[in-house]
Amino acid sequence: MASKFWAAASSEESEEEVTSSSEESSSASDDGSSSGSDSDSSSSSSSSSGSSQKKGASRFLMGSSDSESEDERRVVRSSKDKAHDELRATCGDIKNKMHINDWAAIQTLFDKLNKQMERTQKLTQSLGVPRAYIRMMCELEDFLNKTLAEKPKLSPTNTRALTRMKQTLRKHNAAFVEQMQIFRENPVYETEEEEAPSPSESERGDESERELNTEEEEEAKFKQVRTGVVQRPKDKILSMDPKEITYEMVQKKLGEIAMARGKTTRVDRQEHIEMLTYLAGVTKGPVQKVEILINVITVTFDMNQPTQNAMTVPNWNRCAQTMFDIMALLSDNRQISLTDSPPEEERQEEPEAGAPTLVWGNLGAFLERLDDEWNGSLKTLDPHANEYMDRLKDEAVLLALAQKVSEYLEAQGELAKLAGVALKRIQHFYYKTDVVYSAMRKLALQQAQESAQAQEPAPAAEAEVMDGEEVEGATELIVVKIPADFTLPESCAELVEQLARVVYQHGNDNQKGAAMLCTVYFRCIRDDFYGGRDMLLMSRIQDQTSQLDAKMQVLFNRTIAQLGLSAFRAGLIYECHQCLMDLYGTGRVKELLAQGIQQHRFQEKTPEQEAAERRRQVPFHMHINLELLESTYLISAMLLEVPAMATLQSSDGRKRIISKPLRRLMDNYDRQSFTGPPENVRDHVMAAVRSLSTGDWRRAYQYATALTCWNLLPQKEAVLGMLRSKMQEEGLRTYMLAYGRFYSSLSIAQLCDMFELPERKVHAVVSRLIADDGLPASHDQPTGTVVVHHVEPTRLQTLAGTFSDKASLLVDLNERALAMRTGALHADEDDGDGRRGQDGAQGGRRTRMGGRLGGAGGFGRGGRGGRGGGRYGDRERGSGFMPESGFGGGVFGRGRGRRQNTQRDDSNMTQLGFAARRRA
Amino acid sequence: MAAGEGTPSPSTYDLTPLVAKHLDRHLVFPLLEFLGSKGLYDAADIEAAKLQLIEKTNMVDYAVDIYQQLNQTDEVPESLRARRGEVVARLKALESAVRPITEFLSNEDNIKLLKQDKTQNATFLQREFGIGPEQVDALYHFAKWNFECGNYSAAAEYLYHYRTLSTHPERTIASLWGKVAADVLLQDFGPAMDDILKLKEMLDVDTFAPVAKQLQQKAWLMHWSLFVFFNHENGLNALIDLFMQERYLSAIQLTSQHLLRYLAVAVVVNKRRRNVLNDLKRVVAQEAYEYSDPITEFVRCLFVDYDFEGAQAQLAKCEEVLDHDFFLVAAKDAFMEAGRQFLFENYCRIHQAISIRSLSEKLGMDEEGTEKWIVNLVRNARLNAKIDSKAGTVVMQSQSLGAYEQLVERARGLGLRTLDLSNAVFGAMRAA
Repeated sequence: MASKFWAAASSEESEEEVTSSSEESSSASDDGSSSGSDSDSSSSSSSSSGSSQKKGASRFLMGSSDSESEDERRVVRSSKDKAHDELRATCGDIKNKMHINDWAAIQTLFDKLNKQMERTQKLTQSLGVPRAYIRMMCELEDFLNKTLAEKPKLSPTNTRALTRMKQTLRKHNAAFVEQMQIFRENPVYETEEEEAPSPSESERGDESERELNTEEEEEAKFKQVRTGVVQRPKDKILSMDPKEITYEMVQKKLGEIAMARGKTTRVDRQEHIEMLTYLAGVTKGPVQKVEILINVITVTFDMNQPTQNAMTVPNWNRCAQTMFDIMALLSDNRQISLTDSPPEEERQEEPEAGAPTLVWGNLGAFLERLDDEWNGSLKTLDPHANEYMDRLKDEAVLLALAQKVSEYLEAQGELAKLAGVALKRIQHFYYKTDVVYSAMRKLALQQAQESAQAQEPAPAAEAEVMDGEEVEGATELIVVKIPADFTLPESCAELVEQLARVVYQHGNDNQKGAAMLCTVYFRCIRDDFYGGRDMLLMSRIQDQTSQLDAKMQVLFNRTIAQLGLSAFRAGLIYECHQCLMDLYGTGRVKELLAQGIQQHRFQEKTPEQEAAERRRQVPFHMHINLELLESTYLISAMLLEVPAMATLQSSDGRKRIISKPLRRLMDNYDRQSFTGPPENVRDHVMAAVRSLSTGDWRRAYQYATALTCWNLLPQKEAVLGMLRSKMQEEGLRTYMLAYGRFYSSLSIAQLCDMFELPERKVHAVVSRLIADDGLPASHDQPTGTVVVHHVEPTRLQTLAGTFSDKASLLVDLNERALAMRTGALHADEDDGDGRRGQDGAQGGRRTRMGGRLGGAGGFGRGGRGGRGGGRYGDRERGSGFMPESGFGGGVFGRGRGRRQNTQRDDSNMTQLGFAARRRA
Repeated sequence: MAAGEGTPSPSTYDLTPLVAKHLDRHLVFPLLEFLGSKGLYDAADIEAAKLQLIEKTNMVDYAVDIYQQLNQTDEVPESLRARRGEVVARLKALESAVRPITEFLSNEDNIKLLKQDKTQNATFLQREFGIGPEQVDALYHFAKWNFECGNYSAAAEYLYHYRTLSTHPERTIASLWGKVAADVLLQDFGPAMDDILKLKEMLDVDTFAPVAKQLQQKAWLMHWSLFVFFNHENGLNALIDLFMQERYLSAIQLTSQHLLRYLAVAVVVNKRRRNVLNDLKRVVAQEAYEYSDPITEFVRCLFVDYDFEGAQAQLAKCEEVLDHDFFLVAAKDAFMEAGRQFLFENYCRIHQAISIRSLSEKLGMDEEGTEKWIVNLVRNARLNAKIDSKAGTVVMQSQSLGAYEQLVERARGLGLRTLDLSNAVFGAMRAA
């Protein structure tokens, strides 16, 4: 022995050394320390994870991965061998990482390798270096040089790691130059050496199957062996005459599979499914069959991780079909009911027919999972490809299944679950317009009919499927048939309402909220703006948006967006703007609607955040067209902002910005030295703004109609007509405000001509300007003109005005200073704010009046009130800008503040809320 | 615009069915009577409705009358006869139960013995007269039964006494409702007004009830109060006060938008309360999609859209609507006059010169009458205008302030504020 240890010093023989000693070690002393085995298993598991990422892993892996897994029977080996094995395992890891260019990992592994190296040297009491180590160094160096030469694209962390690796490796390898030189001269010898141990290892693999670990390469390699092993019991039951199979046998097998859940591999699961499908065919009664089918579903669910990747289509189809089978069984055997809790004791035999039985299983949860998987797979598909369409057609299956399940749950009286399923169903309908719904309905009914026609040969076909499964190993496609009794009502609205009622009755708060939002959305796309808005406000969900989870927030945002769109279609420009300004105020529309991931310049997201965001994404077919949304928002902002800007010009009051994003765009536009013809949405709107602000509504209208997104609206003509009349009106207002003071009188007839409006309308618009907006003019009825009274003040008068302003400012400041001293100010202001909070409408109005007074009559008390209001608003807005609030929170916070204001102005529901709050 | 709708039948704007939902059965009777007198609906329909109403009450004799009238017979249906027996029996039973109290109360001196404190009263009554909570409860039921029988004055009296004796908070509120109803039916609007205000206070205090219930109670209160407000001399002011309160306004917007009609009339008629006009404008514009009738449309056209012709058309329609409204029929003339004035004022405010002819067309008067009307307005200093009789126009004097006035206006508050400031400073110094 001793000589052999010493021989290890010569690096050339190290490989042989390792294998021979490992063979001996099984009989050697059992000083395999627990710590050693721990690190061992961890290294093997990490290597397995590495290999699962990269399939074509190096064959050297085999050397490393024969170490013990968690299995009971441990092979006892000397610590020295262990050290060698570890060393090799790490080498394998490094190679794996090299394949995927993960330099950060290579670096850590390299450090680990060096540590292990030291330990090995201590253990073997030699200064020699194992050959594997040298080989690793060589490969690493080569790879490093190659990478540096190729300069592939790497993430910043990886690049950093690469440079560091370059330096450390150069320093480190200086010590081994000679050995590496020797190795490089005869690598051939090395491969021979490598070959040698593998047969012996596979031998060992043969004698103890349990040592097989989770390596996929291994599985591929040892497929022969292991299938033989696992099939032994299977064969027994398979080869038996189905009549001889007893209840207990099936039950036992089922128990085995259920026990194995969670620690099996993919291949095992595949086999389990095959086994279960076979068992389902030979069961003794419906109860057992249901149990087995439920297990089929759970095992299939285990085959993928929902957070990482979606279920494959065949698996999904299998689940769906199995669910249908279960539903059919359950409806045939009413005595069976499903429970959430696992059974206390094992059933020993099939209960008598007709006796009520409990079986463990949760159909609602299964359905939910299936739904999630369906959504998930849609997200991974390319929305413009045919696969997406094909997958979309499966929605009918899902809906049929949901219908079945809810029928069952209703019959069973499991109302909480029923609410969940109803919500899921609503979520399939709420975004569908009538056209889309009827198309889907047609398709679904057609499918149902087809399956009804194919009913007669169905049993045979099914049997065939079963056989096929066994022969081919369950890779074929199962075509799920929609049951013939599947129906969808003619009117989607009724269906949604009915489902929503179920949720309202039985659901929890979150489900109710979601159902409510869906219903609002549903109403909005059917042009029922008032109905949707009232419902939304009545629920007062906008007060709690910050407490909602991200999914609900996305739904809320989507609903708000649709609310805005529907307001626009109804010609309610102000409401439309109010709805959409929160979404566009942030510039993160995509993120808020979960319709794509936006890159931010200043903040980098952690991978977890990114993954979470990816999971949140809404499938493509549910997207709200962003171009349309943007056009709608910008145009409504334009219609409000342009006249407001004209007002500012005429009387230099305080600045009131209605739409910040629009203002920003305008600033950008102004800064350009050359402007080409408009190309995108923003250009068009900017051009329209330019035209409208000179009162040229025709050109503005042309620009607005040039946008292609209007084609998406079914009622395009009506909307454009609305837009036209709005532009005429706002154009007139802008014109009067901006240019009125240059005229001494304007003929109404001429204005009618210019803006193509009827006289009555012009009269009304001008009247409102005079009465509400302080246009210094009046009608002269006998001549049909508008007479402008504007008098330019003389220099002295202007100065006097400025002086009085200053004086009042001084008094203001004095009051403030005194109040600060005495503390009266705070109480006063708080009081004011509180009041404004409670009856904001009044406060707001007072503010507005104050503003007008300030504009017309100077800075009396009214003016002060106006400014106070403005400041209050700023503060409120400011509090919303919380960068740390993460997704949505900041936006919602801000939105909330603003929306409260809005409601005070335009809603009829909030007062209720205020009353409640006041009570609270 | 509503002008193009053609002529809707008068019943389009009839609010009785809407209002009746929020009223007590007994309170609906006057409405039905009124409708019957207007001949808006078929008389038989109204009689049938009355019968339906009355079946649930205990006014059996009245029911018999209506039944006979409706069916043109003299016989009395068996069910009603049986009912009558039951009612009378119950009334007797209750009467005997409350006898101690009624005897106690019939003596004026006894009532003077009662104190403010209710619990003290209860013990006092128990001790001296053997009147316990059961008797007090019975008093409540007795009053209720009397009310159901149509014996309102008795009901009002008993309820009044019950309120002084009862310690049961919910019953107290209920008895107050009953009192209001009885007063209204007795056309005793003075006490009814007081009770309405009391009731309002109690409801305002009761903030722990579920929101839906509060809302309902507010809606009820507003509907019931219509009887009082439109018949009491200071009713319109009180109506504006009540309806314009934040909570009540929101209750209107939530449950009973049709009340906006009454609010609008009250505001338009009540010239002293111009300041609430803005609130009215806002609410009416907001609720236009939920509720509109000629009156709210008039307000909207005139104050929101400045569509004078539309307002004119609506005003013409208002006349008929008011004529058919139980509550507003008395306020019709006042409303028409005030509406016309509003129209004219607003019109003048934005005009520099108006020809008298077109004005007379708008106001629906002849030229001379118009001229007189304007002269009156000018004389009452409501209008700063002159008549140019040669050209046949009214010329408005410019209302815009000159630069000098503006300056004065701006500086007006400064002196006072400075004085305040200095006072405050001195005050602070003295205090220190």
